[in-house]
Amino acid sequence: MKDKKEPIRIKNLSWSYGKERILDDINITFFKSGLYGIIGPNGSGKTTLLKSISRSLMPKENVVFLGDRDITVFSNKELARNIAYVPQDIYFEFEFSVMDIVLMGRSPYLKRFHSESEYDMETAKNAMQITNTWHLREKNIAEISGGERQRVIIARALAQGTGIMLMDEPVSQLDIQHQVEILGIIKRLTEDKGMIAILSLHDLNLASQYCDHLILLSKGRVLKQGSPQEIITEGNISKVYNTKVHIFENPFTGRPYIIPFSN
Amino acid sequence: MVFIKKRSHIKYMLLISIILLIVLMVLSATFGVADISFVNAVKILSRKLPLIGEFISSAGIDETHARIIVDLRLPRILLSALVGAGLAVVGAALQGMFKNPMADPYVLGISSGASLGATIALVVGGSYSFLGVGIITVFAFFGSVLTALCVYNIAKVGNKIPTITLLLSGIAVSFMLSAMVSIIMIFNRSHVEKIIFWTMGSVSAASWNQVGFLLPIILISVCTIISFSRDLNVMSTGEETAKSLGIEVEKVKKSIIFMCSVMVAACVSVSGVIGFVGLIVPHSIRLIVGYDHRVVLPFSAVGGAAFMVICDTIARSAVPPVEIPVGVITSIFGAPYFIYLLYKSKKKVF
Repeated sequence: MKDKKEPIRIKNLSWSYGKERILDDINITFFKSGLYGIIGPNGSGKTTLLKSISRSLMPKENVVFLGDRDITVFSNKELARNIAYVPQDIYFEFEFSVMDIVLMGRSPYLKRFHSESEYDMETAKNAMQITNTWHLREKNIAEISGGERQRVIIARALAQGTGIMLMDEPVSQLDIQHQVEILGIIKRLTEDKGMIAILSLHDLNLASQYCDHLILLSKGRVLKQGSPQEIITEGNISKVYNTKVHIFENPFTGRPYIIPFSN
Repeated sequence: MVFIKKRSHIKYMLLISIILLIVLMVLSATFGVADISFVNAVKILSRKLPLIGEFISSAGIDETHARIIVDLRLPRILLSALVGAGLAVVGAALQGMFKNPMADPYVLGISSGASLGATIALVVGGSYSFLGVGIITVFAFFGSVLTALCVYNIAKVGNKIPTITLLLSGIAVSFMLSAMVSIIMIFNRSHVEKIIFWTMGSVSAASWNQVGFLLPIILISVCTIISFSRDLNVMSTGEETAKSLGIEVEKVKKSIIFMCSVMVAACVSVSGVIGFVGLIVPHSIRLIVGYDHRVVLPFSAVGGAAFMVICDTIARSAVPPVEIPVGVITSIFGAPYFIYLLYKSKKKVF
C-alpha cells in the first residue's frame, strides 16, 4: 500500500453523450498525495470526470495517463491494482457477509482457480480495522446501516491496495455524524498512507473543511483549481452556482465557510 | 456466513449430497412396472463398474431385470439428472448475472427456438436419425442455437451486451417463434398432439446415445460456469464496481451466455421444455446455503439433478402405464414446495 501510487495526468479530456458535451477540454494533474475534491453544480460533469479517470467510461487514447502510460492500454486487473473506484450508488441485491464483500477487493490479485490466501485475509482484516468495520465481518451486508455500508465499501476499495482512490459522492446519502466519520477516514488515509483520494462532493462546506485541493467544474470545464481558500470565494461560488453567498472564515479550521442567502 | 471459513465444510457437504444423489438414482431404478429390489439393483449396476464389477456375483439376478435397468431405466435416470443439473446451473448463473430473480434458462428465447425446430422436424417426418440421435433432437438443437445467436446479436450494442436489452430481445424473439409454432400447428392438425407433448417436456425417449451426447456438454459447461463463480459474485454487486475490481465484465458475460446457451440447447433438444427446474432449484438452494455462487452453483447442479430424478420417477411410475410429461410434474410439485419455502423463510429471495 505504500507509495505504489503514480501521478494521474489528464490532457485535453472531452466527453460527449450524443451531441451533448459533458466534459470540455479538461486538464488536471494529480501528483502529490492528498485529498482532492471535485465540486460544481449538478450536471457540471463531476461523475463523468471520475468515470473517465476510473475508465468506467473508456476515454480516448492519449488523454488520461497513469504514470507514463496511457490508461487505455491497461488490463482491467492491472488498472484495479492501481486505482480503486467507488461509484455513487451501490446496491446489494445478494446478501453477502461483510467479510466476503471486503475480500472481493482482492479480486485483481487472484487467478481464476485460486482462492484467497492468508495474505489476502490479512489485507482485508487490516482494511476493516482502519475503517472500523472488523466487528461487522460476520454480518449480512443487507442488514447494516447506511453509514456502516459506506465504511465497508471503503474497506473493500482499501483492500484493493491501490495508491489512488476515486469516490463519487461518498457522503451525500449520510447524516453529519457519518459524513464526518467517512471523510475523516479518507483524510487519514491520504496522510498516513500517502494515497491520492479524489472525491466528488456536493456539500461545499465539507469540501472546504476536508480537501487539500479543490477543482471547481462548471458546464464541463475546469473553472478554477487550487486550495479551498482560493476556490471558495464569493465571486466564484455565486458565479458558478448562480446563488448569492456569504463567506466567513471558519474559526476552528481557518477554512472558508459558506452561508447561502435566499432571495 | 463467511465463505472462506466454511470452505472445507462445504466440500464435505457437497460430497455427501453427491452420494445421496447416487443412492437416489439407484433407488429410482427400482421403481417401475417390473418389481426389482434395491439390493438387486445395486448388484446389477455395480456389475457394470470397472474393477469392482468382477467380484459381484450374478446369483439371484434375473437377466431381464438386468436389461430393464441397464438399457431402459438407467439411461433415463442419467438423462434426467443431467438435464436437471444443466438447467439448474443455467438458472442460477443467469439469475446472478441479470440480478433478476425471474430469470430462468428459457429467458433468452432458446426454448422457443428448440420448439420451432422440433415442430418442423415432427411435421416433416420425425423418424430419421443423424449419428444415432433422432432428427427431432437435431432440429431442436439447431433451432435453439440459432435463436441464441439471433437474440445475442439483436442485444449487442457495439462490443457490449446490456442486460436489459438481452432480456427484452429474448422475450420478443421467444414470442415470435411461439407464434410460428402455433401457425405450423394450425396447418398441420394431425401433428398437434405430438407437438404439444414434445413441448411439455419428457425424457421417456432416453437412450444411451442421448446420455453420451449430453454428458460431455453438461460436464464441461457446468465446470466452466463454476470457474466464473467469484466473478459472478463481484458482478452481482454491480457491473461498474466489478469492472473497477478488475473483472473483465463483458468477457465474463459473453462466456456465461455462451455456456448457458449451449447447455440449454442440449437439454431442451433431448427432453423438450421442462419448466421450473431452472427457476426454483437455484432459489431453494440460495435459501439454504446463502448467496455465494461458489456454493450456489455446485449445489444447484446436485439439487437440480436430484429434483429431476424424483420428478421423472413420479412421471413414469405414478399412474402406470400412463406417462405423465415430466415438465408437468416439475411444476405441480415444484410450485407448492417453492411457495412453502418462501412462506417458511419469510425472507426475501433476493
